[in-house]
Amino acid sequence: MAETADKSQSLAEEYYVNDKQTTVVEKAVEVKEVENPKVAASEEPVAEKTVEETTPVAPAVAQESSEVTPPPAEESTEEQSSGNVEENSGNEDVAEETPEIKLETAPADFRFPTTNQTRHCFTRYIEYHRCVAAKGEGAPECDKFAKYYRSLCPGEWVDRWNEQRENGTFPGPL
Amino acid sequence: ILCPLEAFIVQHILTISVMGLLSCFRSTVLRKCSKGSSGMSRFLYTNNFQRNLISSGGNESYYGYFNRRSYTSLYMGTGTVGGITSARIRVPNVGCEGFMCSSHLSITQRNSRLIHSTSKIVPNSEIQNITTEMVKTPEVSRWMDQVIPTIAPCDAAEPWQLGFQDAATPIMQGIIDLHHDIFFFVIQIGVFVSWVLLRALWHFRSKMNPIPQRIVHGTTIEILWTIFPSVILMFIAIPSFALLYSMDDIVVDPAITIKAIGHQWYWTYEYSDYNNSDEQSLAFDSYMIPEDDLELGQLRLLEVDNRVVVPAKTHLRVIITSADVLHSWAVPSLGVKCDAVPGRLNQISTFIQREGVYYGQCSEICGTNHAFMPIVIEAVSTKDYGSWVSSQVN
Repeated sequence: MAETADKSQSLAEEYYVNDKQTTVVEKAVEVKEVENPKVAASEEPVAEKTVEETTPVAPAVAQESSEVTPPPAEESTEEQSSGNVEENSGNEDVAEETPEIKLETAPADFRFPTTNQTRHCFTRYIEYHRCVAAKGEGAPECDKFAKYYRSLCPGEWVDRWNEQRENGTFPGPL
Repeated sequence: ILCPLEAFIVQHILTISVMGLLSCFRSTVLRKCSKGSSGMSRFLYTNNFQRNLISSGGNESYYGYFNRRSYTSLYMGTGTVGGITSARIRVPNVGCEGFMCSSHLSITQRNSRLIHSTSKIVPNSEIQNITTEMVKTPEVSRWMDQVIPTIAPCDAAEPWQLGFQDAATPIMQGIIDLHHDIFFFVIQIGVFVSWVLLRALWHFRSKMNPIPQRIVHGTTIEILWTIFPSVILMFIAIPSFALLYSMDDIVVDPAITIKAIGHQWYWTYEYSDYNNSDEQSLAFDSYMIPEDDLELGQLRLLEVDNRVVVPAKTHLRVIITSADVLHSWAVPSLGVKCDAVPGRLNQISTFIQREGVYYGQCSEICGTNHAFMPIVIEAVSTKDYGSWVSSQVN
């Protein structure tokens, strides 16, 4: 804890100083230029990571990403250099944090294509509890449904429904 | 005949006067905020500091402190009336003096570089083109801003602003384009109808026509003024329907779900994608910062103590509901506006294309403090978002 606090303070101090002074920014730019070969070496794994991160979220987006038109050479070099620097710092932060954050949520359901998602939330909740009733408490197949209804339903609704289930007054077909 | 030195002086004076005229014209007629130049740098500068705080993580993070207080008040608030918090937020002193001459230019360039650095994760080439167009800063405008500093907040309403705020999503860009197309027809039709009306008033006045005609009919004019309006309506309806159906939600699976719950008079946000049980939840309240506690550079009636942090260039799903009365969750830069109805979950999908801070307000009259429940969305890079979530969940 103390080590992380020190690191966070040092990082905040560095950024805070960099924001105010212009000369330090120029030095940072020079450092970036010097570090170009290292950044170039690390480009491919970063790209692979980004591709891997995007594919499970939405396959359509992954298909579309292959059709990205390459930007002009000058802009691409600038973008790559500063982007890689940011991603490197991000990787360091991610390495410090043990739990991984996956950007995934309940998928869109074609049974509920409209703006109104009330029944979607209700249906996901019922599906989870049917799964639990069928396969038993703590079944791995039911974790998916649990994530889905937690993503869609407000916390107060879930608490109220849990209370109704315990009292036996839940209106849905369990 | 002037000597070369005098000629140079005269040219210089003329250049300065022309520039003055241009600036005067720009300030009076083009009161709408300039796209992507000085206005954006103001908020991106603030956002940069916020981003650094997010990246630092740990218990000392900017969001951790308020999250703890808000988390407690979430449960205590069930039976109590939500009050306006008086917490003070440490934001860097960003004001008018920060945008003078060279420092302003360096800030603009750095922020432009920051924006460009995250464009490699664009999933669609068309969206990338739109993003490039949105982010691109004209060189002339940048040069003029260096000499004549102007501060135009592009992602919050400028005082007396009539036009749209700068678009941050394809939907908002489509809305702006549709407005421009329809406005073209509106002006043409208005001018034509006014011309016909004034001409009729003039040519059929009582002096020239003491006895008015009783029966007037023309088959040709009937056919013309039936066909032409329908053609015009077709030209208006086709892009309008195209935009309307492009807002459908089922096109792409979202990566993040945010729940916005309206209360009197604040918003509660929940991120439940990272829960392992029903009790554990990333939830916080978002109260307006009172006018007395505003720091220099912050906006009146728009700042909140806890911002909604989302990753840019990611498909988002926002589920909007209310706990007491009707509210409306509206952010003009994102082109979203959705009612918060108690007992109903309304869903909107959005795709933010550039990092920044976007402001909105409750848009459904909800009581005495309807004007004091703003919405602030901060779009950051995916890495920073991961750091923020890690700092909040732990």
